[in-house]
Amino acid sequence: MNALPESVAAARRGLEARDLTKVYQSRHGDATKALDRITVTAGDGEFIAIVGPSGCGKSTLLHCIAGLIPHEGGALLLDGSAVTGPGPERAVVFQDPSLLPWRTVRDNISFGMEMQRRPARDEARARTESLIDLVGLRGFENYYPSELSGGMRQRVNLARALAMQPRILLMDEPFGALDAQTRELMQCELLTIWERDRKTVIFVTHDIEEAVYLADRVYVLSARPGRVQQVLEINLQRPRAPEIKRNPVFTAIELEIWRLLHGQRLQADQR
Amino acid sequence: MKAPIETATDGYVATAKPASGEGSPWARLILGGGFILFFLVLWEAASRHAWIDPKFSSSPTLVVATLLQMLVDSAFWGHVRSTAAGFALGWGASVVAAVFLGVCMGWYRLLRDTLEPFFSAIYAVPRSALIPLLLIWLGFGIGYKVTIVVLLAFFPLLINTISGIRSADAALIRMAQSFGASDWQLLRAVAIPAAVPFILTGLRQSAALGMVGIIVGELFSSSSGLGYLISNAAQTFQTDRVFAVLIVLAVCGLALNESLLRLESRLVRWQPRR
Repeated sequence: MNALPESVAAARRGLEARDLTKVYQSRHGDATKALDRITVTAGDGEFIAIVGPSGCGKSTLLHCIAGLIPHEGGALLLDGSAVTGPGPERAVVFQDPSLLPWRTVRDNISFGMEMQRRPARDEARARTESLIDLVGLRGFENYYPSELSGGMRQRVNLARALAMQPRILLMDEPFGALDAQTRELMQCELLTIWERDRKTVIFVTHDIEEAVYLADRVYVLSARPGRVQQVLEINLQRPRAPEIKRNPVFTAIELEIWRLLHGQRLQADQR
Repeated sequence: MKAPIETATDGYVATAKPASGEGSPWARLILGGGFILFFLVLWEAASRHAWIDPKFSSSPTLVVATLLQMLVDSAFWGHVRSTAAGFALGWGASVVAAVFLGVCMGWYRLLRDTLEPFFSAIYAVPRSALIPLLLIWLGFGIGYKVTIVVLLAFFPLLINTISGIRSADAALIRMAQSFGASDWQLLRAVAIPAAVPFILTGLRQSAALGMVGIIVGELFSSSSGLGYLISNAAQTFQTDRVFAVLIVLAVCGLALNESLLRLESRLVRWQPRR
């Protein structure tokens, strides 16, 4: 629950974003700092959540880690060596499901493998079929995205990322647009899937409860420019059932994060 | 996915959309067919009672009789072949060129910047005004007909293809990039499929304009083809023949449009029902 010294995690195998800084040039020529020396570490098999007020740059941070947009300062390290650009070891689950509307569920799931031309066709086909089962879309594999519900689309989005068998799963508020019931269900299922092979996950959300429920460690970002305000270890036992959300330890952590974010909001309003 | 916008050039393409409620297809058939029948009966009666001069305006029975006569005349089929050949060659060439160039121009900015002003300039000219020039250059054979068809059919498809490629959703492009898609893969797996509905709309527009092109070309100057048949019949006051050829053209146009619509509904099954 207390802040983790940054140097401790740095030595571990895994991903580290060290002092990441991102500056946007506006059309009028002035520069806006979106991310300010952000350091986030995710050791192998860790589930990391990043929470922050909207506009704090958490999606930007995730896109930098994915290598989709360049950063100005700092470094992105995988097992200690620098990486640039997207790579197959990191797969992104987007906020907007970003499914290709002309592809069926099955063909959307295999899309990433197709782009990578890896694995071989038979293996890719087998993987796709097992993922259809894993995310509970059996019977819908020939549906087009326009025929699916929001939750089902996010399952496809998740399956497409899992198909790459990435070391690190980068999730950008994937359940943000879902209704409360579907969201809870998806959180549970995500944890079940994660418990099977314990991939590294970096999960961005603005939902405090979601962050605490899912993660081993929560990074709380401050509003513009995004800075790491606090890092909290969540030492709740696993596997976690949804009932844990009523646990006093859980609610205490939740409250602490809420206070951090709420304090910021007050400051921001007074400014 | 946005539906491609039907433009004003899209002559006879009707996007059927009942204004109030669903309406039964039978009502449409009975009322619509009934009105056409009423019109034909009125026309026939007017002609029989000499309210209008049958020499100028013909009559439905006369037109049908002439049409039946023409259909067994081998000379008529020669004209059909001539028009069909000119149209098929011109439209086929336009489709291949416009889709290829449109994809390239939509995807590569440099190419678009290079070629767009040139094509815009040609497009700005009313292209039927080029007919006298084409006659000087090409005479009035098949080359002349094909060129007119290309001039009319090429542009709508080119413009639709370019905007189709450019309509590719930035979020989908970013998604594909996150999976390491190369530029070529982005084009093939994201941009081109996204452009398909636009290309199909462009196909119908270009077919309609291509038909206008070949008929106008033949009306203007030719020694064969359905347009020639019309102008020849009109000059000798054979209005029944004019109407008979118009019926043939309408049937061809409808058949072409209908088959393109079929193709469209097969290829864009993934689109949510409108």
